[in-house]
Amino acid sequence: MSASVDHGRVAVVLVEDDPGTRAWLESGINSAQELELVASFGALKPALAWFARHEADVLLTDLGLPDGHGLRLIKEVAGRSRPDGQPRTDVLVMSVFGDEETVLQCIEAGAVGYIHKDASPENIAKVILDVRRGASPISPMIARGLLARFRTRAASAASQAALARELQIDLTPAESDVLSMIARGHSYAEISRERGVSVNTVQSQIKVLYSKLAVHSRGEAVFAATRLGLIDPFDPGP
Amino acid sequence: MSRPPRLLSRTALYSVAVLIALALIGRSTVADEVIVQINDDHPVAQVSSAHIFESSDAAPHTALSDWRDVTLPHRWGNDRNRDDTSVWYRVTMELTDWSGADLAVYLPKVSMNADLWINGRFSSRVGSMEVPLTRHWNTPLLLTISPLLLRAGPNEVMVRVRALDRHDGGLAPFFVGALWQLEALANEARFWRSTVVDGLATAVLALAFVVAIVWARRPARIEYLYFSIGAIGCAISTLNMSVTSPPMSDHAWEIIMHGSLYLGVASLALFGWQFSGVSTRFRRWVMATIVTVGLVVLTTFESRLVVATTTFVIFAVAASAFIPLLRKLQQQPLTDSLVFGFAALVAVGAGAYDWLIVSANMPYETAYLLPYVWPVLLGAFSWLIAGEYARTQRDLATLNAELQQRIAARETALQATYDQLRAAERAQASAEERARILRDMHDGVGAHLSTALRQIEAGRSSNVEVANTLRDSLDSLKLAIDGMTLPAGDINALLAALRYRLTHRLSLAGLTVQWEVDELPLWANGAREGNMRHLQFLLFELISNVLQHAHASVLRIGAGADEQTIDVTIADNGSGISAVVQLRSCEARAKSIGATLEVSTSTSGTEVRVRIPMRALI
Repeated sequence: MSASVDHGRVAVVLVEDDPGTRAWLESGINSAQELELVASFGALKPALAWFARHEADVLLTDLGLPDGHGLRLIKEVAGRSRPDGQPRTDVLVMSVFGDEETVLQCIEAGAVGYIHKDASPENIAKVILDVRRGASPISPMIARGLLARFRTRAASAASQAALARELQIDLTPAESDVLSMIARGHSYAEISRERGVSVNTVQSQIKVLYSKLAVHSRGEAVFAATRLGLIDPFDPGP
Repeated sequence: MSRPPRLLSRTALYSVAVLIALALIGRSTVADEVIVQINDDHPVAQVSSAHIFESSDAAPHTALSDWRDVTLPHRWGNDRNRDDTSVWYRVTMELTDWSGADLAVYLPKVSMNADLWINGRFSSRVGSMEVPLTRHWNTPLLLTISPLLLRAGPNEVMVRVRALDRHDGGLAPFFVGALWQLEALANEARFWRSTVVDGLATAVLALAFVVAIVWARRPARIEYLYFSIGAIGCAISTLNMSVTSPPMSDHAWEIIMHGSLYLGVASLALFGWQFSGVSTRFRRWVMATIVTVGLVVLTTFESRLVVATTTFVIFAVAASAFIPLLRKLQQQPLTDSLVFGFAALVAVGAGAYDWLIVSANMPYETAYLLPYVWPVLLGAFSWLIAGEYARTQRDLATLNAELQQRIAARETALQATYDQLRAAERAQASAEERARILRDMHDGVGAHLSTALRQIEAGRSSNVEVANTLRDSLDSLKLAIDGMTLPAGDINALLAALRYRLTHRLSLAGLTVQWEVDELPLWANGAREGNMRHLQFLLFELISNVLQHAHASVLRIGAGADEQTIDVTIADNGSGISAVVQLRSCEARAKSIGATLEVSTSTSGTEVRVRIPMRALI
């Protein structure tokens, strides 16, 4: 059963435990014509229950919820895909400034964007719509974190060529370039000027990078499980 | 070893007694022949009296009336004239019912050498009867009787004995009879007097060799050298017991034998003193002097009196070294005292006994004891050395264990101190960090919040103005948080975060940003506590200046580096700074991170270049 709205508006689900913040976010979502708030929760379990029976285009969730961590919900929802293979739901997380590490963990879990808690209502709607268009937000700090993660993965996988192929973890030169420029403080406009591509292209590269990181993270988990499975049969036993 | 004259007053008495006895015997000698009966029932007879005649002739003296009677053992003492005369002993052997087996004469003790004449004809000899004489005084002598010279009935048996004057010539009771029986007696005597003594001397030499090696590995332990020399000296002096034909003159041989004995005994005394810790320079000098003087005197005067005297002095001084040793051993296990006490007792006893032989105060047949006692004494010394070594090893092991325990305890203590220091450092670091954050909060967020509060209370500001003030407050909070999480020394990251945080404000101010930031090397000094934050605040202030005072439309932020310096430039196209004074707080902050400011300002704009040395100058 889908909660998507038939007249082309983006169906948004909100999970936020603080009533004030939730009201403010709701007003931000409702301020945009293209967005429709289909459900709003103050806790993890009702949200999980809702997603067990429904689908949505966008999930905007806080992390520190009274009955559990938002990461559980992100993992649950971000794994779903449409018949064409594309992710069913874009997940965004509420972020406090200075907590890039948590945002990166959420991206690894499948989130494709984040909204700062001090963002303006127009900003909230804009970020959601941008993400729907395929453009994820990024900051120099997150770009730096991404680069570091890809580098360590590449380094640890370099010793296992098979794993590297399996996980397809290599960044394209263009992606790597974009990430380093953002990390050095360049704006999308400067990057597009310098590299001769549109700002939209630059922005969509970010979303691709986020999903790559998420895929790698899942891939690593699968690999670890496989490896455990491989070891057992060779155990000579008593 | 030679036999000096009797030293005791008995000497004179003996001499008188011998003269009287000779005078008495002289009248009756001719009357009775000394006859020994040899037959199949009594194949061996002991001869304990004989007729003697002193002569320098190589053939027996035939005028029987000139011979006189003596009882054996017959010690010549001073009862003889010259070195080149021999003393002939004569008995008659009555052969009755003899089955014809070979006959011999066995001399258990004779000094120095003897040969055998039967019925006036030479029969047999071992070694030399001419100077240098073979020294048979300690080894038994077996002389076979040539059967061709025998006849049934009475046979005249003559033993000719020669000795140098300084040696105590003489003849002990001897045996005549069947060769096979006498040979067994001779072999037994040879075993105890030669074979055993040589074996013991070899063992002592081996011990000396081992201890010498120990000393070579630890030259500081001089007592091992004394022990080794002592053992070698004693072993060499023992050669005198078995060597019958030394390859040198009798006098030279005597000096070597006595020299070894003196050196050996003196060295063992030095060992005793050194081992018991009472060795003094004086004692060593005294010992060296006694040995040297003794040898010089011995070399100069061929006197038996001299030998007896020097031997006595050296033995007595050496025996005194037992006393400190025994005293020291009282602190050691009882076994050590018992072992050494026994050895010392035996050694002193044997020394005294042998000295009595040297000074001719013992019966003629008496044999020296010291050659048999050296292994006992040296064995006891070795026992002490080994005991000391074992104790040292044990003490060392104990010490090592204690040392390890102490090291472990010290390590634990050090670790505890280190932990305390670390904890104190951490506490101090977090206190500093807390102080810094509080200062930043006060200067940044706090100041902005106060302004917002005043704006609201005064009621003159618009909501937009208050919101902007609060936004500034949030920005400065974000910057403060960035300052804490920035990678140390990464100025690129610092600039990027600064731009990201200020994007909104810069666009509100209508400023176009020109971003000319190169890839920068790591700023080593940026790892120091608070330096990144200082640089961030410095640049923030410079940008704030542009925002507030410059009335500019373009803000250029540039960064580059050469080998010594990282340059960060904040420039605008505004109206310029009227007074450089405004940059004073920025200069102070720059100085605190070792950087300098280069300011160029005009009506067409201002450029501030922050020059950050790559290496610490502060």
